Amino acid sequence: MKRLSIFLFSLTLFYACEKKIEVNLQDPIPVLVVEGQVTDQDTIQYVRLSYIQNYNSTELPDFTIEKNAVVNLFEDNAEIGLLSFNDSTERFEIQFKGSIDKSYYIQIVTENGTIYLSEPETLNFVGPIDTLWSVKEDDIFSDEQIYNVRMNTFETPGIGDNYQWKVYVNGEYQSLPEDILTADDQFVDGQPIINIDIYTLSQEEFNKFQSESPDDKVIVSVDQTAITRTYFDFLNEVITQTVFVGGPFDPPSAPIRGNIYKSTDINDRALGYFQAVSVESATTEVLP
Amino acid sequence: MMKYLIQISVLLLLFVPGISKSQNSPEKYTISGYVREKESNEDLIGAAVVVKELGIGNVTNVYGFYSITLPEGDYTLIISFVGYKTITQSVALNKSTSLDFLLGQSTEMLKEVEVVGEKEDMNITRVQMSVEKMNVETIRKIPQLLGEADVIKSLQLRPGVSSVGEGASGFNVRGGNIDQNLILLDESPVYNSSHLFGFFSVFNSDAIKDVKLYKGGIPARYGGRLSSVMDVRQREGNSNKFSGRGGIGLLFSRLTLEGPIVKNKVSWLFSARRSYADLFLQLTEDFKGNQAYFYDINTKINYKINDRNRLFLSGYFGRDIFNFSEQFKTFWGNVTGSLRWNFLVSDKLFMNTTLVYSDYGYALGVPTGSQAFEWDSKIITTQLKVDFTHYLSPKNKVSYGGELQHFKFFPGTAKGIGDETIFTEIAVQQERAYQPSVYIANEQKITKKLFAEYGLRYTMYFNVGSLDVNQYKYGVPTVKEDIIGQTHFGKNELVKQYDGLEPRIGLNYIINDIQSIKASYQRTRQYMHLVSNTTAATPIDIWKPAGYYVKPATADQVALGYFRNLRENMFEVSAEVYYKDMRNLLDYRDGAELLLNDNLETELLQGDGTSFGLELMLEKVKGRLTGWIAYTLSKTEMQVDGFQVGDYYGAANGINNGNPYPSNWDKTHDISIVALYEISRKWDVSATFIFVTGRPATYPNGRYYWDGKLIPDYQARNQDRIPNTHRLDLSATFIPSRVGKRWKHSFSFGVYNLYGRKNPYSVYFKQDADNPASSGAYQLSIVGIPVPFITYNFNF
Repeated sequence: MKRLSIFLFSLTLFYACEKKIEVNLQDPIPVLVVEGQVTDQDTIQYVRLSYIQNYNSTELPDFTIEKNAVVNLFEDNAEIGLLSFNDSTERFEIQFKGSIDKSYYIQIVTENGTIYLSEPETLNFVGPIDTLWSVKEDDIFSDEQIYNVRMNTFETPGIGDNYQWKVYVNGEYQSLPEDILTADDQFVDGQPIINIDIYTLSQEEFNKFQSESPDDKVIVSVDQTAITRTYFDFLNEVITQTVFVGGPFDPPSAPIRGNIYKSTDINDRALGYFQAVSVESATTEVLP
Repeated sequence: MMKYLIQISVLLLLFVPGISKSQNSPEKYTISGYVREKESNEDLIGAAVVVKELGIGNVTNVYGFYSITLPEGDYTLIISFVGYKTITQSVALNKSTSLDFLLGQSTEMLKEVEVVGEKEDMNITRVQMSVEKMNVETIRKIPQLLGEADVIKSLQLRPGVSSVGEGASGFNVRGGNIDQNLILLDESPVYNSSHLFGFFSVFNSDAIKDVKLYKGGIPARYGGRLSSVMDVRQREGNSNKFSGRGGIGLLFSRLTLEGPIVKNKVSWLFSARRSYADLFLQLTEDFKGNQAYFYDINTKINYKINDRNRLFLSGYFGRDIFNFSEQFKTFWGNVTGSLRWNFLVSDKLFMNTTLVYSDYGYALGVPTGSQAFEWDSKIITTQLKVDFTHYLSPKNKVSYGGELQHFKFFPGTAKGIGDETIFTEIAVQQERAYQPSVYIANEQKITKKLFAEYGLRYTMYFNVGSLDVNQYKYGVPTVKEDIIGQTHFGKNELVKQYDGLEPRIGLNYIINDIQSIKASYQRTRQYMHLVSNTTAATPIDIWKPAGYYVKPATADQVALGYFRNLRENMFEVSAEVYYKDMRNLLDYRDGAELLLNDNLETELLQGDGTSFGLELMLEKVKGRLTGWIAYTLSKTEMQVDGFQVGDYYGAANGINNGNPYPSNWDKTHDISIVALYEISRKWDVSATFIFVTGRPATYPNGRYYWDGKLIPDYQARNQDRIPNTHRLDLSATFIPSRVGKRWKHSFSFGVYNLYGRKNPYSVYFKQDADNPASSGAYQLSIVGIPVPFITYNFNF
């Protein structure tokens, strides 16, 4: 689907031109934004809180605005503990290791006493990445060469698995909307997944990372995560609303429904998502 | 199944007449026959046959046939058709007579032979309103992108017809979505009327004889779509002599050949068109091996068996093809065919029987490698219809008939190919449906000034198995996880049935020779929906039939109009207002997954729409300068309520919290100015100017930062608008040689978007890749530069 969408979109570029314009937009009504996760890794699990901004803002939001909120983590309806606010990371954090097949949710009580809950997320099993490597190839859309980071893995039998892959280059998380990579197993259930392109670096990008690296190496790490269907839908909607925009074949602009809601009204929602994911990682060096 | 087949048969039998000789009293006789173009023998549609002494008459039907019943006596018949010499024929009527007429070109015509237009003042006298009829010669003169004459782009210059944007597929009529237009090519439905996503239509103007678009007041013989009927008729082929025409342009070429197999008895036509920009790409290293082109092939054979029987066999084959080396391949296209039999049951009863086949499908995939797959989808329609036109008297022309349509929907099958592939197979269930319908209508002269056309259509619809229908926890489609089982329907077992009446009424009060007032009402039903939640439809959108969960759409439209001609029919002026109310229109949940989804009903919402507007038109139809100014003021809204059941809240807010919102194609002001000027026998020039209000858009409420991404937050739908569009196109035609030489040729050249306006297609919002804290608004223009064209045209 992603390749199809790219194809359809790219055809419009034969004729199209794009320019930046000024649009006057009003300040929004305050809405809480929640970002957070629990994983099966014995590490810091976190929640970050902020508020929606005017679209034309030129700065990131204030992540300390709700530093006095109370954030609790629950496992299978039993309270795990309170997350503490870390002034340097500007996040609520707790040292914890999630367990496969357990469900997790958070409760947030904001400074003004509003209570938010997240819909329970089940932490699902994820298989390992079998092989991760890179190849240097010709780009079919230009006369340049590109670096494709490729992997082999195996899809767990049983329909209903959903995945996200997160990529880090020299330790830096590739977090742009275009870097979101998800898949479900509808088409590949129980199959070996081979020669999948996980990430692509242009020559220019490779040179930039190489020059910034103390040892001139470009190291790519990939986290293969098992995610819930709801989170999979959320991420795909993020892609739709941030990447596939502007062209003739884009779906309508629409709010992205997260899994955080006010305890008094399940339809009154905060923005963002709190997810439970299991993680398997692999690393490779991209060779020039 | 048997029960409803019996119902269909009974309904059809009610309208099968016995063969009858004229039952007139001994004092009345019938004159009937055909009106044709002299040089090519093409039937003339809408030619007038008027009895001078009585001021009554008829117009020819789509096969050029007319019939008038009169008392015994001496009469003068006047046969006329714009662009052709009027014929006057004296008739001593003392028995029923067959009279055919051949109309020759008017000496005032400067151009090559072409079937042009209908009789003068037809806009005043005919009952039908809300009709756009364009002649092919005008379509050819209007400047278009890359110089390619385009039927649909030309219709979009008429009031009430628009599109969501430049290059968008399909067209919108009076606030209706693109799937609400029934597009017929020689009576066969065309499901995708666009090439190259929407830049060009599938209709090769060289193969077309007549185009009529009903925006309202749709006659009862048509049904199946809510908003409009576009009836396109191909040429029959010159049955007198071999001839041809064509054109060579920068990116397209076309060739049409036609001629007799047996003179004046059997004729044929073959017309082909191909784009070839991809051939130039083979000269470059970067794009060698890639393909990007489309083609159309129109074919026809016309066989006049005898004076009472004629057969027509038409075919159309069109395709868009895009191949990127061995990385990705795709194609889509229509195949249509129709076999028609005209039979003169008697001199007052004309019958047409049509067998139709239509197939629209697409395929795409990656041909080789570990990710090799292929994915295809199609819709197939077969149809049998019988239509009768009964010329009861000069005051009453009754038409009736019936049809049986069979639909097969193949929503999608995707599978891996080759030994290396990682993909398994997904197949969305096929669906089938039958749609029988019957109709009866009458065109009646009630008084000297009051005319009416009224009718009733009755449609039935049967969605049949074999099919497995999901059953949901709460009885309505919520989410896949709420499926509690399936109900199996065997082959041809009834899944769901719908039916309904569709009254159609039109009235015309002729104030005097130059002005009239008209009104119309229609109810229409539509039993299939195009599933598309993108701004512009894509070639891979699928058609979803009404069925267990999806209801058919219905619409009621009323219209009122004033029509006036000025200066001896040199100017035609009209003003129409309309109101349309639509129900059960499709919309989609936020984030809907529409492709290869066997639980598609969980993604769909159905709501209502309303559209109303004012259409003004001033047209100059005679003289060296012709053209028109069209203005449409309109508003179109949708409303989709949500629902909440049990613990399911996914669609609780509906669309826009259940509040009305402008549709994607709501454009408040739409102005088109078209001017065609014949400078001399050698030179024509033409110009088109359009101004259109920007279409609705959803601007963000704000933005939020999540996982390193700046995400826009949208709330109310379509409450803003993109900037307005305006554009000027110019063209000129130089004709070096004239009548007397067999080979005639001309050069057309011009510029589309003369002043290079970057008309906005969309305004969208995205994060700045270089600055993670910054986001902005961007405007996309599809054609942002002047695009010149030159075409060499010829005919012989």
